[in-house]
Amino acid sequence: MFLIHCPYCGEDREEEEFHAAGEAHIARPVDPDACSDEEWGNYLYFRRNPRGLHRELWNHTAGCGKYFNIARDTATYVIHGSYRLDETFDVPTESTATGERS
Amino acid sequence: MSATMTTRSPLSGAGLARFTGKPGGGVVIKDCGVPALLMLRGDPQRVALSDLLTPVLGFALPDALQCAGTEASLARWMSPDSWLLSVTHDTLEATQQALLDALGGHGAVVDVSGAFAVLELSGPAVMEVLQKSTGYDVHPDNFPEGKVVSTTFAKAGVTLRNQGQGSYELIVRRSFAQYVFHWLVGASGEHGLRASTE
Repeated sequence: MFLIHCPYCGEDREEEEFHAAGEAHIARPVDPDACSDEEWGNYLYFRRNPRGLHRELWNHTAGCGKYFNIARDTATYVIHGSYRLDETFDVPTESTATGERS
Repeated sequence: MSATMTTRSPLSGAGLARFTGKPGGGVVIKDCGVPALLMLRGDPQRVALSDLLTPVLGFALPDALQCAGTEASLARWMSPDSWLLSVTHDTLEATQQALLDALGGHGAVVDVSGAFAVLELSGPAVMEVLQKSTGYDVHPDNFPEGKVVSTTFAKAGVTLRNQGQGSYELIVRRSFAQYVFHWLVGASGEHGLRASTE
């Protein structure tokens, strides 16, 4: 059990109120007709599974119902921060033991 | 279909009557009956909702985790683009139409009276029962009068409001109303539960 900060409610809430919705920042190919099968397949099906910093999409299902992003370390469970979909969030470099991998 | 429709509270079959008139009672539960609720939706980043709606409502829409208005017309913040407005049955339709006219198509106002049950909890042990039921910190320091939070309550989702004077409002999906009531019966067992009709 851990606390997650909802950027819309502005509060730390119990994990129980949230639902994980997978990897964040997955960009749809600009021109789907022009991309290769591999590119389209990667977009649809393939997800990163890093050990370390990961950016995830979460939904505050029991609260405001909004989706937002979390920068979380999958090895230590440290949540570096949560941010709205229209925001960017830079993880402080000194706080990342494992660093951000792409 | 009959010419007249009767409405009854989602809790009308739950057996609150068993707890009516019990002496003492650490926890007092009140079924507020059939609510008159409007779900108001609009994106304040795209539409000047306050400018459009304040003249109709008589108050500005509340910010996050707050409520605004009067007992007869109270808006609760539900999410950045939705508010739950409780009115009275005789003003429901007129309010809905007035809000829709004011929004001019840039939002939605839906009668959701049939979707929710409204309960009131009070009594000297109400805090203990709330603390058992939800993971949210309901201590007055964190949950003062006028604050509204949607959170989990037992295995259901509720919208909790601190009404002040040790009284809390629970708005729960009608299909979860009996479950929440039965949960409260169990959770209040050690304190004694009394149903109030006032």
